[in-house]
Amino acid sequence: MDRRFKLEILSVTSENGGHKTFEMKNVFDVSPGQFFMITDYENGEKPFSVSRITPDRIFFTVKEVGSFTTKLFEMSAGDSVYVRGPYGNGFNCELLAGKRLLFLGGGCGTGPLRSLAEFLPAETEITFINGARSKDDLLFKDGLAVPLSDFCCATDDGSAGTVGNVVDVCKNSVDLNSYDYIVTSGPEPMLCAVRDYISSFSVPAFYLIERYMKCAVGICGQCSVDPVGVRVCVEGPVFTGEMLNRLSEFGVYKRDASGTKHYFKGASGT
Amino acid sequence: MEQSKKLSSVFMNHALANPLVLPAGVMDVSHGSMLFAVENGAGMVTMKSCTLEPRSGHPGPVVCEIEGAMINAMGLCNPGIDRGLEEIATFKKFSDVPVIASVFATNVSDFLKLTQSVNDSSADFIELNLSCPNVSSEFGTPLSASSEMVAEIVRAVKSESKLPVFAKLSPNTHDVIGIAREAEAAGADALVLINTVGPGMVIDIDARRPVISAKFGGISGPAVKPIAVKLVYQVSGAVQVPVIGMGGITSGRDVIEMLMAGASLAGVGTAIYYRGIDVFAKINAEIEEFLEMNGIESVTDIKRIEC
Repeated sequence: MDRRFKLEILSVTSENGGHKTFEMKNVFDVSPGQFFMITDYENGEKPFSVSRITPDRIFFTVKEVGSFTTKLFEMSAGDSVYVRGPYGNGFNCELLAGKRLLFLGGGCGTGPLRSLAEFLPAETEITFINGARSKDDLLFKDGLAVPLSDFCCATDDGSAGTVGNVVDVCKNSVDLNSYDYIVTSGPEPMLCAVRDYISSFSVPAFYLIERYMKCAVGICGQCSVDPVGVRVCVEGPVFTGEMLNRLSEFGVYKRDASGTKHYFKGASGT
Repeated sequence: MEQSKKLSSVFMNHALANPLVLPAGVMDVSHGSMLFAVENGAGMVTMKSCTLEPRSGHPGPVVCEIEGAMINAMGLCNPGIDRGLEEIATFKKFSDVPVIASVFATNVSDFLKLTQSVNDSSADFIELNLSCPNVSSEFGTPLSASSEMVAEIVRAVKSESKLPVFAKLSPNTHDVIGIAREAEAAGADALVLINTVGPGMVIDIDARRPVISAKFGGISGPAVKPIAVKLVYQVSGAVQVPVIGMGGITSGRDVIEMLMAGASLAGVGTAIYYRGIDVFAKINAEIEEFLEMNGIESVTDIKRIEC
């Protein structure tokens, strides 16, 4: 049965880009790409993907975006939060293990990619392209705890790594056909750019996407993506490129807490 | 979805592939979510109860599982009637499954405005949510606690509506049967029951706080089924109009039980949590199995038991 755990925050680490990483005891059976609902019973309850999983610890890397994360950012080691999960369909680690993988991450979306990179067995070959607006926004700019085949950063303003976004890096210096799978997580406009660029290649891709979430157990329908209706909290948050292509909502709009559509900048409202 | 003729029926001039209805409040804030339920075997769907203006609902936590049941207080989040009806219109581009437009208001005049909007929409039925238990701190006791209010609203809406009018009733009153009779007398074309039970409360003893942000929440799931079966049995014995029975239905045998209590159709909501979105297809297969084992031609042959 679903239950909430009171978990003590064991450490708080400040990350680049105004992110913070919270360490907690791992009392779960969780895999990369899955998420938890976390509350303080005062500022709502929000979904958080794991950014690192060890046998006895889980980590969440968070950006301050609303009242709950503001409260979380005020917390320090010794404070407690209330956690339920894990939820969702994470990355298919069995499929990805030992393969040649291209990771394309942006912003906070880099967190779940880190957990995956660290989780996969050592023989997996991972090229990790980490994108952000500028040097100060880059999460994990110094690489991960595990050796990668290649790790590079890209910033829109060129203040760190290559100038441009992760797609620009792919266009200029990556042979997509040399990879078995592409795995991507980040802001939706970035994911759209990735989808559009890789559509002319035959490399299969996995996308981790976000929607406003309420129940997280698949009954409220809040995070269903039109027109198929798949739920980010159950069928997602990781979707195949094949499924993503059926989701006409993707990259065009998302819904707020009332279910009202909000169109992405530049997307058509009709 | 390919389905056996054994499960099909005609309900108020609408052909249904099976007797399973997606109730208001479950997987229904968007055309996509409703289409997903249909893709997985629902015979009819209800759009989330809409109010005149959009509502964001309560902050989380909004749900909590307990032994044998769920407790929830979403807080009537919805995009407002205009956008809600747009979702139904979009749904209809993809599917010809009948749609119930559920509406919520706190007074006759707002219910009439909602009715006028639904009149001009592609919905097939209008359901009056007279029984949401989760907004009482804002709006007071649900309307279906008062037979006079129920009668007044149903009568007013019926006189204005171009569509058949359903009244969704609460189990949380002393006189459900009396209220059901009043709703029928006022012109309701069908009754929908039960809404969630309680409301109830769950305390997180580690936090010393109520789990649900609204403190209290309506209870659904297998534990409430006996209450639903009892009330559907009593109400269907007291009125002539069809009853859409719901509350804790999780299996094909539960649907048969609800039909034997006198329901014409059966709502399946919280069961999605227990058995997945394809619970509709699973239940349909289980109903068929029961029909075959008992040599029953059609699900419509299952009538209210006499006792």
